[in-house]
Amino acid sequence: MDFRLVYILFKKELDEIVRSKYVLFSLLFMPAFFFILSVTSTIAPVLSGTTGEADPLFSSLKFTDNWNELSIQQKFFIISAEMGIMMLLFLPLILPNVIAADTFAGERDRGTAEGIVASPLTESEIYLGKICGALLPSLIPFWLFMGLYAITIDYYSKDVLGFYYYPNIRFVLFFLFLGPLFGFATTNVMVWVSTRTSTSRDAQQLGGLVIMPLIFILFGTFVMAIMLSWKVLLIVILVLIILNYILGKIGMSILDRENWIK
Amino acid sequence: MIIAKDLGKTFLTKQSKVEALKDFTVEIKSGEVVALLGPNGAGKTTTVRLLSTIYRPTTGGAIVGGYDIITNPIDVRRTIGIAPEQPSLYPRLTARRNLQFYGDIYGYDKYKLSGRIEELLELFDLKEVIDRPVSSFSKGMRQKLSIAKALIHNPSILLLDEPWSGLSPHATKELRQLIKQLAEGNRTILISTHNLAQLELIVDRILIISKGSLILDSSPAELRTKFHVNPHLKLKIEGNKELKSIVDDLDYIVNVESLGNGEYELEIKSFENTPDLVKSLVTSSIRIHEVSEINPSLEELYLTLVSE
Ligand SMILES: Nc1ncnc2c1ncn2[C@@H]1O[C@H](COP(=O)(O)OP(=O)(O)OP(=O)(O)O)[C@@H](O)[C@H]1O
Ligand SMILES: [Mg+2]
Repeated sequence: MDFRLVYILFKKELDEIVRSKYVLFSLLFMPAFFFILSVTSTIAPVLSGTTGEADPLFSSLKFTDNWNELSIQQKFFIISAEMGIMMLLFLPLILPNVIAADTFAGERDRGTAEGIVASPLTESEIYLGKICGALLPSLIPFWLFMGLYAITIDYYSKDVLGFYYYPNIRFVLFFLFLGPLFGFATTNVMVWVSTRTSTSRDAQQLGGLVIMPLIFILFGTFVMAIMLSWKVLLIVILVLIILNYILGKIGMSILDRENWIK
Repeated sequence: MIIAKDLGKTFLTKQSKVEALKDFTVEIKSGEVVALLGPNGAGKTTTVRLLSTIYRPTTGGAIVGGYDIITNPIDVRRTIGIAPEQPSLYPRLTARRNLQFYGDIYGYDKYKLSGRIEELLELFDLKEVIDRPVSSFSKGMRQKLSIAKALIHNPSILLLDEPWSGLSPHATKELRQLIKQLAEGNRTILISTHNLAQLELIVDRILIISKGSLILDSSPAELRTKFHVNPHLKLKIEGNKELKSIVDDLDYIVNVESLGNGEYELEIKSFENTPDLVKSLVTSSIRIHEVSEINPSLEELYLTLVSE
């Protein structure tokens, strides 16, 4: 594996992405939409005082050390903030979809795949360059809006809780590990889908279908994990790393010069 | 140098089995310019893709530029330059960025590469549009840029798959001129086409494939003698002067056919004899209205060959 070649391909991918209005728009619009959704669904109800009755669930959770001493409003604020973060975690599951379909199936649509395939790049170099090219541009908006979200929550948490809620361990794990790992997993699946469909539109649609169940499975286990503790999150991360390793290996073996250009 | 032995490719689809290329055996020497001729679906693109290691052969093998396409594909790809049937250019990127991408892959250093890009775009008359996105290019411009891309690392072997598909007559002529220029060096060039007329004056050798089989391998001249086809001249002279008596003792005139009204079609051994013919006519005080080359014969021959 020649990482210089991977980097050259990666750079070309970025150059193409910044010149595609459609991709750029998706990369900005979707995160902005999720951001507004998570902010309005977390802070708004808390600030307007519609906190409702104390749920038995509330007391069984333990997001902070002094959880039992917090008021219902404070507990509600924290739980809402955590839910909002989960909404943002959808981003790395969705955004690579757009780019991966555009780079893999798109290159075949536009006939540019043949040029790459006839160049000295190996299959694994192509694969890695493309994965990075789809993953990084989707993580940047994810990181950006995660940051914005933390700042927004903190702006209010000083008043409501008396301290800055973010960053905490859970946030750091989401930001650095879960988001990127989710992204890597979907990117792999998308690449796999894109090598099997004939147009980038098909790839996006089929990709959406394939990724949906994946999203639900991941989130199912994930929500459970959140309710427990950040230590369990570490286990989830470990499992995701192993899953990603396997997905990556499979993806690399699936990419075939001959099939890609067809 | 390209040596192919029993090279073959069979595609298996759900419904059928297509033998796109069968037992393709050929030896192309360094510096040779070869036309790969055949009708639609003959297997030209398959051949080019096999030689450029995009496809794995089902049977046989080939040595391209000294490297085995099966055991050493990366070195083969480093050695060749290829302009695929559909230009492999990124529409959103500029001409310069497209060439840069490929130049980087071949490991050019930055300064050398930018010089090389300018030089190539100069040669292909694309210097003015160097920083325009390829999506704004005409078909002819794309085709030229695609060949420039193939030449970026100065490969010793150049594979061009239908370089003039969809081009206007003017662009076709321009491209032919360019290819002729490229052919002058010591580069091995394989050009696939279904249009022989474009290539006759450029190539050293013609390979004709039909339905996946190589059916003919010879030089244009050999082809002519083999099938007794000579070039023709169309001649229009003043009044009803008798041409026959004048050209009779010119040994390079094979046949004279009168079309009436002072128009004649002459079969001639080579166009190289045209100046001498004109000189003889002038010495005999014949006023010449028109002399033009007509050269449909090889094309016709090829058409009959592949339709068999
Ligand atoms: N990937 C493929 N899968 C199945 N069949 C294929 C594939 N590629 C080519 N073929 C078949 O192989 C035969 C040769 O195709 P090829 O593209 O090499 O022809 P060609 O001479 O380049 O034709 P054209 O002048 O139209 O470009 C055709 O019958 C074609 O349908
Ligand atoms: Mg073809």
